[in-house]
Amino acid sequence: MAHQPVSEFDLEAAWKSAESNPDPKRPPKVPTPAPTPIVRDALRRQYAGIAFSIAITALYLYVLAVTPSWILRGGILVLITFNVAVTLKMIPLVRRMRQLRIDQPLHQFATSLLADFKDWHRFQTYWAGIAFPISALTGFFLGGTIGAQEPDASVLLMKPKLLLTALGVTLAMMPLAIRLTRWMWKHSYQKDVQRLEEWVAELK
Amino acid sequence: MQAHRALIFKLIGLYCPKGEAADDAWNEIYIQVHGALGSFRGEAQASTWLYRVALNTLLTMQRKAYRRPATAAVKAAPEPGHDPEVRSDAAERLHQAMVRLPEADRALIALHLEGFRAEEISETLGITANHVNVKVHRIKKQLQQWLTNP
Repeated sequence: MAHQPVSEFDLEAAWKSAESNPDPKRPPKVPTPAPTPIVRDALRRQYAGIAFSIAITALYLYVLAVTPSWILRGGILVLITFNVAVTLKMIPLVRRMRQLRIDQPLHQFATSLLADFKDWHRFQTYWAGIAFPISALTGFFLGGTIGAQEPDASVLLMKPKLLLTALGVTLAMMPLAIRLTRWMWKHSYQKDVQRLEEWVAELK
Repeated sequence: MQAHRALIFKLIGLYCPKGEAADDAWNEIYIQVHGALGSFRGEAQASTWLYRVALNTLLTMQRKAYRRPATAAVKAAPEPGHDPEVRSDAAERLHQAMVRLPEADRALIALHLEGFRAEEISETLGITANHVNVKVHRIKKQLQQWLTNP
C-alpha cells in the first residue's frame, strides 16, 4: 500500500479521514449515577473494610461480656475504641472519594484522585502499624488464658518470660504486618496510581 | 452527547482496544456524563465539559485500558467485535503513531487535530494555553518524525 510522501504527513487530514463508527454493539442502558470505575473499586474495598470492622467489634463486645479477666477487658476496650476510631476516620475519606467531581479539568481531576489514593494508602499503613501490636497482645492474653485454663489473665503477668516472649514476637512481627499491608496495596492499586502519576507528570 | 459521539469514539480508540473494551468505555462515559449532568453550570462550553468527563472516565478505566505499545510498527490484526473507527491507511498509520505517545499527549493532540483552540484544550486538560501550544508543537514534531521515518 502506498504511503504518504516522506517529507510531510498531513496529520489533520489523516485524523479527519478516520471515520468514526459510533455504533456500539451494546446500547447503553438507562444510566444510574455512579462513581468512576477506579473509585467504585476503591469504595467497594473501603465498605468491605467498614463491614469487617463492625463484625469484629461485635465479636469483641461478645468477648467483653463473657470474660472475667480485667486485662482482657482492658485490651478489648482498647480494640473497640480503635475500631470505632478507624471507622470514623474512614468516613470522610469515603465521602471525599464519592464527591470527587468528574467534570474537572483532567489535570485537577487526576491530582485530586491521586491525593485521595495516597491519603488512603497512608491511612491503611499507619493504622496497620498501630492495630497489629494491640490485637496481637490481646490475642496472646486471650489464648494464654484459655490455654492455661485460668479465669484471670493477670496470672500471665506474673510470668515475665512469657510476657517478654509476647512483646518480642509482637515487635518482630510489626514490620511484617506493615509490609503485608503495603504489598496488598501495591498488588491492588500500584498500576492505577502509577498511571495517575504519569498523567499528572505529563501535564506538568 | 450524540453530537460529539464521533470524537468520543476516536478518543476511546486511542485508549481502549477494539471490541468489548471500547463498548465498555462508551457505556461508562455515557453513565458518567448522565451522572454528572446535574453539576453542569454552563461555566465551560458543553463540548469542553463533555470531553473532560470522557477523558477523566477513560483515565479511570482500570486494567481494560491499553497502555503504550513498545512499538507501533506492527499493525494489529483485526479483532472481532465492534471497531470504534474505520480508518484509512493514513489514518491507521496516524493512529498507530498516536498510541505510541504518552497517554495525556494523546488526548491533547486528538483535541488539537479535531480543531479545538489552545484555550479550549487548556480548559479541558487544566493546563495553560501556552503550555498547550508548546506541547502541540513538540507532539506534532514527534509524530512527523515517526510517520516520515517509519
